[in-house]
Amino acid sequence: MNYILYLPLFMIIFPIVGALITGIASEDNDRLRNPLAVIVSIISAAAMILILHEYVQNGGWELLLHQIAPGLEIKFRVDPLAALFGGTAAILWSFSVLYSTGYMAHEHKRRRYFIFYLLSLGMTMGIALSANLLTLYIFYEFLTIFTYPLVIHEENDEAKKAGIKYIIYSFFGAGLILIGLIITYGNLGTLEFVRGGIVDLSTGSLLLWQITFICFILGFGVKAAVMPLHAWLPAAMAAPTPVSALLHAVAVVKSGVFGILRSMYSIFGITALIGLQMGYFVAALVSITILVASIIAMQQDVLKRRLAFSTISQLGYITLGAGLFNVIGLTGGLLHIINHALLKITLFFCAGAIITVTGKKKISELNGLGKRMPLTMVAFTIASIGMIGIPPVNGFISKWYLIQGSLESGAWIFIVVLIGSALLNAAYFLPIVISAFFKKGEFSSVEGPEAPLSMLLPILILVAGCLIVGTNLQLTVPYLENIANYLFYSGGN
Amino acid sequence: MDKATVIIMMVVIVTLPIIMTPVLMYVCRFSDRLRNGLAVLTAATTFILTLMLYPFIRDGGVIQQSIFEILPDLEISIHLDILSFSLAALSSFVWLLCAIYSIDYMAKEHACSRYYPVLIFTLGACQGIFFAGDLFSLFVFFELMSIIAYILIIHEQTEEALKAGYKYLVMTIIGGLALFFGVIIIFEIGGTVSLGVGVIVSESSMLGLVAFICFLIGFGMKAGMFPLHVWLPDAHPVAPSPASALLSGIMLKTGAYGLFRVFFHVFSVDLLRSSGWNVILAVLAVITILLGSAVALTQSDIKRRLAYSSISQLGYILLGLSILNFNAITGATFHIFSHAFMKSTLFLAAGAIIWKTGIRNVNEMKGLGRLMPVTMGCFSLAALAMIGIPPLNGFLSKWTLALGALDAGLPGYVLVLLISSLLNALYYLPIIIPAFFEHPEGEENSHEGDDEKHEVQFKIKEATPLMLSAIAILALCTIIFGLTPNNIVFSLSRLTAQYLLGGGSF
Repeated sequence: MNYILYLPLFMIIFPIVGALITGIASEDNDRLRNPLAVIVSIISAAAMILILHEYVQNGGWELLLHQIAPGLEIKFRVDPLAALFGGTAAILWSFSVLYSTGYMAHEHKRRRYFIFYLLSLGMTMGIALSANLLTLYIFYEFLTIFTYPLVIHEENDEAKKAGIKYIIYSFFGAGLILIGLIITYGNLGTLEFVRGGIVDLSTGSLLLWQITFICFILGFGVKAAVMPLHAWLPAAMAAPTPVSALLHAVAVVKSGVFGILRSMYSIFGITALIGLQMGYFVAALVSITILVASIIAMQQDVLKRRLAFSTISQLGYITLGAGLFNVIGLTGGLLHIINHALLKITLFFCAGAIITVTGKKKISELNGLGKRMPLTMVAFTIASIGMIGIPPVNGFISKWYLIQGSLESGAWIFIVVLIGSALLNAAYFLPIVISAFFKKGEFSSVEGPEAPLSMLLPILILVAGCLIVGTNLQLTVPYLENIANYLFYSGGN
Repeated sequence: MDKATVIIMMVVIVTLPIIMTPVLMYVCRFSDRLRNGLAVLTAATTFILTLMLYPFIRDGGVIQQSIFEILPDLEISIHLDILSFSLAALSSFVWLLCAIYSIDYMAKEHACSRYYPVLIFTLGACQGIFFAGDLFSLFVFFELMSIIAYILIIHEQTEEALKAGYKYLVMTIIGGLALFFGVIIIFEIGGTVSLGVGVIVSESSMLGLVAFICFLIGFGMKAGMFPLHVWLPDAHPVAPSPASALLSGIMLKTGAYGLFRVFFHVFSVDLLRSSGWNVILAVLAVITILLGSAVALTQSDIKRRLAYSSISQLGYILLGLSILNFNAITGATFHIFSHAFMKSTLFLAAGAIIWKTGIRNVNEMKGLGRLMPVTMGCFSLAALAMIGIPPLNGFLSKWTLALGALDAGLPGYVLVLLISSLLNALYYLPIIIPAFFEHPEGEENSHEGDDEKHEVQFKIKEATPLMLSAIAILALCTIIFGLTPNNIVFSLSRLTAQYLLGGGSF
């Protein structure tokens, strides 16, 4: 059974190799490329499931690849947080590759698109499975580089501008992370992710550690779209919808959140975090992000941009959960990684299906769409209800835990923020649903499938997933509670 | 009847309508008659099954059963006691009549293939609210019903309906979030949200007060309590009349029901009395009663007038609840029934008038009694009951409520009830008196100089028998359950009050 221990490496290498193999197919040879890409992504998802299985059975393990210098290693580890992020991303990836085959059918440069789509998978897995900050940093940078061609895919002015914005913001963030990384290494001589954290506040001045903390939060905060570092995300909506769906709702943005969680709980550790007294900083940043993003989302008429701002606000929930400094709140934040991923990818897929079938991008043009695309709009409705946080769709349970966590820490302001944001969610999602179903429009029903099956199928499976996760909370909650407990370990300092 | 049978029956009562919803949607493709029949049949089955629980209730049975656990300490569960039974029986009864009424009423309308499934689904959700065994299940069904009811409200899909519907939706979401928050606080304080543990919160605390206010917002919004009533006068009139009857007659009561549960199963009665939290509700209820009645006077659209009347009548129920003694609770419970019968009659009759003549303005209803004697007769009966004239059921509920207020040493509330009754008279009588005793407009001119001018002329243009039977049955209820206090509904209300105040047993 030894080969299983090398699976983390396989998770990174295989998508890269797979991407190159997919590249063999010439530009017009969709019939070869599409199945190849789907197979690569499915094998990756299967390998990830194997890792998860092994992890549940026998616990985590490490894999040292290369030692650059003492304390600077390229190293992978399977631990609960890695399993959570890696599992979510890898499984959703296979759905979005399938979806892409339908969506991209009429786009140009499909070969480039699929190569980089799969390369990004490998990089994301690298981020998820990294065992120390250096490894994470390297893959984080590569993810930026490999997703750039996807952002500028359309190659028009808008896309190019978005691409430049994306690169500048990302490298600015990466620079901040590098500063934090150097300070940490300089003080401690290691960058290892350790349960309970490695930072000992007595090794340097408090101010220095506070600066380090801010560097990490803002640095990873760029990808996590923490305001005021969010501007690249709405701009990046110029990318094809599967890119927006996966990268800008799951992989890239969540890698930022993942980085924040790692630096908070695996580098600093809960004891040091409380010692830092930076709770208010995170709280203020996140509260502003949640509320302001929701308010801006209300004013967007382009559906994808509205979803982008909604993402910004929802990512705030996850960071909020991490910043509450109690187990229940953290559970809520971690739950929201899965729940938001499922809900938002469904919403984006619906938006993409609408664009492919009708060509409409603006919400004001969607009146009466329920007639033309009933299943898509039902899926959209269910996901919207989940976003607002109404049972039995899965979004409510993360809010439950977040509110309970806020009560636990006595932070009433967060409750106001959470409830206010839920209300705003309702205010920007429900009008879309209402106008699609109940307003008169020019759409009429058609015979046969309402959208290409390769797009409709992922939408239906994912929306079923939302309902299943929402009604069978035993599937997610106990595991995430364990992860939160794991991260909350304070004995190792 | 053993416990297992009862539990299975309760599950069936809740799930049957929900399961029938997709079936109805499918059947719509083939035959309208089959669809209508199936909808009525579902409602009837639900009603009969609910009634079959009566022997169990009569023996003082209470059931608390977890259906499945979603998380430790958090479950979907069912709870049956006399309060659940009363409301479930009432709601399925009115639903059945409204479904029957819909057959003819909706025949002229568009999108019936959407209307019937939604109508039946909300029935299931509503029964779910009444049978919920913990606050979380209650919340889930409450949200399901509220959100799906949106489709009933905007049925016409006019600009006006969409606007009213949006208002409704926003208020529903606000209320839902408040409830959600309240439930979480109770979970945080007590570690459970089950209704079967007697009382969850018995000590005064800041957190408890916040939870109490959250519940007031969440359930009060549904019950049309001031200042959260703003959606109601817009939403109820725009819906098709049978849906308005259900919205006003039953769905509002789910809010009142929720507050009953909060008052007796979440917080202890002693806590509410000693901390004076019930006064918050009392003050809001008084404002609701007076404001609802006063604004109803100014409305000329008949359905809007009825909607404002609903606001004020729900105020009675909330007022009775806030007084917290035996007579007041009996009165409040009985008024849930009374108002359901009266207001459904009124809305269905108003619907028949609109359906037949297109008249919505109350000033144009002169002489309508000759055109539609049965409809107007039932309307008048229910309107008189609203005013509180014996021997109709409205009188009995007001009498009992007033007794409760006097028992509590609060004669001021009696005055409020009297003023409101007077206002009721002021806005209902101007509809029914001209309807019977004045000539229709225009007709007077045509008969001018005629000898037979003073002769009463009947030119009957009634609604269809199905519609009339639904209206008449409901109108009859206002007499049957008002003649003497020895009727079944009143004794159910008394037993309910006894059960609730007795802290969980007879």
